[in-house]
Amino acid sequence: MNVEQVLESLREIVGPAHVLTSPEDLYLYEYDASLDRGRPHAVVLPGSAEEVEAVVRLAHEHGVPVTPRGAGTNLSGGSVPARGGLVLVLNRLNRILEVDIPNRTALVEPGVFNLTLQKALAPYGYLFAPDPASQKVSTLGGNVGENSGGPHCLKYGVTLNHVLGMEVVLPDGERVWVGGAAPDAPGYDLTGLLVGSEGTLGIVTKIFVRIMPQPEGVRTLLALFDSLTDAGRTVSAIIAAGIIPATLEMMDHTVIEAVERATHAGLPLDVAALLIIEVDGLEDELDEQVREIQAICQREGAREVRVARSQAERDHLWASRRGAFGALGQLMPSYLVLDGTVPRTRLPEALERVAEVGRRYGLPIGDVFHAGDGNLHPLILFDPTEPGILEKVRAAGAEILEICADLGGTITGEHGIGLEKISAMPLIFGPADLRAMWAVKRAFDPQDLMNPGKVLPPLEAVAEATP
Amino acid sequence: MHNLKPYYQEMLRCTRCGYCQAACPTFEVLRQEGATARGRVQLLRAVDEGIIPLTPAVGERLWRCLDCRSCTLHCPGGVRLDEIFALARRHLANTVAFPQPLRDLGERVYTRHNISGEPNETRLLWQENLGEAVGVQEAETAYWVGCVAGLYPMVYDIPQSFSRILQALGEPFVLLGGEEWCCGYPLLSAGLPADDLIAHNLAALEARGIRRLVTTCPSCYHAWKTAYPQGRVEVLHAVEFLAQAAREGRIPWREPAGDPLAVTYHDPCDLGRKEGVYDPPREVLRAIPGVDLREMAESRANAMCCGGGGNLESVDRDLAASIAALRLAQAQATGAQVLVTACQQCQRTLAMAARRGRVRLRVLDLSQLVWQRMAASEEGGT
Repeated sequence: MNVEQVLESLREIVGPAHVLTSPEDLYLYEYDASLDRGRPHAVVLPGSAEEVEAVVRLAHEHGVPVTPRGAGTNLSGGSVPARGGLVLVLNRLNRILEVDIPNRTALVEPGVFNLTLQKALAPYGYLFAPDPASQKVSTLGGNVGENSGGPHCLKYGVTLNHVLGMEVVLPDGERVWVGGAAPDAPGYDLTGLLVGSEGTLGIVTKIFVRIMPQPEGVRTLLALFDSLTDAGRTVSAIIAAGIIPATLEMMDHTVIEAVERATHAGLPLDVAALLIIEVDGLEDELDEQVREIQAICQREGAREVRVARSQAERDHLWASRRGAFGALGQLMPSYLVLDGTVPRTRLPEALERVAEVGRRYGLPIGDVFHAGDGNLHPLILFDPTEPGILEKVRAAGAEILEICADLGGTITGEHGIGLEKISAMPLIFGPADLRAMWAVKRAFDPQDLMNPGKVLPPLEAVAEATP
Repeated sequence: MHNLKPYYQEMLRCTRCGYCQAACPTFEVLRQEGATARGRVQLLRAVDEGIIPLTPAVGERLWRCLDCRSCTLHCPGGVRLDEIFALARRHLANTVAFPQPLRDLGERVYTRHNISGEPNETRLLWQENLGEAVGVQEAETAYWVGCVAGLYPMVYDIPQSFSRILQALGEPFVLLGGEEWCCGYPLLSAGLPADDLIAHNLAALEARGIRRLVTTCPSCYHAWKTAYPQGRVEVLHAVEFLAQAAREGRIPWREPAGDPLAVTYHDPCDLGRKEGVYDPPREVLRAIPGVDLREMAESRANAMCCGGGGNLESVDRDLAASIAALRLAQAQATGAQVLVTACQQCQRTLAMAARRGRVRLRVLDLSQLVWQRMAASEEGGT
């Protein structure tokens, strides 16, 4: 392959300003929000679906790996180029093409920030349900790639439940449409296959999403606990009572401290855990639900339950939750965020075992998570300048994922497998399961060029494993 | 081996969450990682760690910044990004990374004592054009005009309006003319020292017995509030002076004629985010009879920079212009007829964007609107 010739062709496709090759720029596309790194050979920023198609076709012809990237907020290394090649940045495809209120749909490009869509829908009284904590900047293309969740997914489901169809550039450069407006599209459910495939099967260039009216009323509660176990038990008790809150979020003492230092939101520093509980729906039923939740919290040992009195108070509370990961920089320069799930009833046990891992490794671990889904985000805090620390952190992280698997849960709730959790895949899937996944990957991408080195353990390793 | 710079520890606290992408106007236009606070921090860190060498390309990314402080405000980790960048610029000024236009700027200000490079004695041409003398020889208050308002004819109307307001309100004030030197802020923002300018300006005020300084320039205001020794002189921005006068009922307003005038207000970064002066200009606007104030979706602490912040205009004029166009569109979305700001630089940048984009939206400094709406302007008005 003549590298200079490929670069020249790329410049012709997207314009010279949108092909980056300087060492400085390449360094800037080495990372995302995870701990993984990998340097691309070039970064290309197409401005249209046609340009994406042409770039992918060119890369395919020359056998160049392509790693798609949105805002680079990925927490498992998904947007880090594992095998060099091109980083294909979708930030310039950032238009909301259509909002169709009567049919409750919107057509968007992949580089649109999640929150930008929310803001565009708000004047109509509508919203897009998936609301990852990073929604301020995480792109809808990234949300599709990771099948992102978010606090409100407890009640409304994850991204897959809100994507009706997509325009996708396949690894050979073919641009196709999957899914559609009909509730049950005929043929294979490729939308279902592609959502959450972490950019390994194709690149989304248009997304046709379902939008929903905003709930008539919302109540947000803050429950404070002196014990983490009590907080964990409360989560199960609320769900067991037949209430489905819109969100049920938990933060432990470590995270509360970091958030409070960063935002001065007025969170109490002497509690072991807090829950942010939100219920939404028809105004008439909300106050009754709030009373019921208050009673459950108190019965399970809450020290205090506060109800947000205004939209401003509510926004304040959510700002503290959404900024939680970034706020950890207040305590330690770096962290590894994990993303395991356990059955809700096993939460108290999971929290105890995670804490034990922290004690054993001598590493501080904070917990902030979508408790209602049993989706834990233990954050292992560390100073990256400490020699040998990264291996220690990764080992502790691996143990935590083992605990989740052992308790009947799984190794990712929403952050994806990416690079970081490939080695944990066999905790959940047997060789035959993984071979089936490889068969899908091969069908779409026989040359293994589309976001290679992600999600699946190498086929050789899978084949060798004993069933 | 780490070459530990004073800002190194603070850089380690950036966890690369990427939330700053939503906060940076340069990213909004360029849509590249190098135009985010995260990218700038990672690059500086890599230079410190010896991973990549210090090059002009590093400098370009560091100085292609509006110094608008939006990233600092929006960082969920509370990383002092503004301090990191200010220290880094100071550290890297005059190295290979330092952009040539800023070397030129430094040269100009050190030798001519203003940013335009015109002879410094010509700072009061705007007054000659007024056809009448304003100001007095001796007073406790000085009107600090600033380089842009004093030397760029496009915005002469701002000092002309404000000095007439002072005159009409019976407020005696001194104009320093050629004795006013650049406040130093453009240099400090570029990473260059401004000690001589600061010393000169303090001495000039002291020689005249000035106790109070009123300025229409938010950058001069911010510089006087932060880079100068405090307590020697009281510093007011024109909006604070006007708000107080309006509150005391001292401004004789003209009777409104016709339909209410729809206006929106653009917060200058140096006045808003950096100095917390959000309410006074709004107070004045609400006090003007027949004015209907409409807020932009992004206002106060969330206000987007006009594109004229920091030294971006010197470093990348096209980028500054593209940002101005975005901010102008936000103002247009309010349906306002007039976009009011309280900064000659914002006024210039946004008015140019309006002209370039053929946008029918008048851009005025608050002093201009106030003067136009004062009864006195009917008699001797512009």
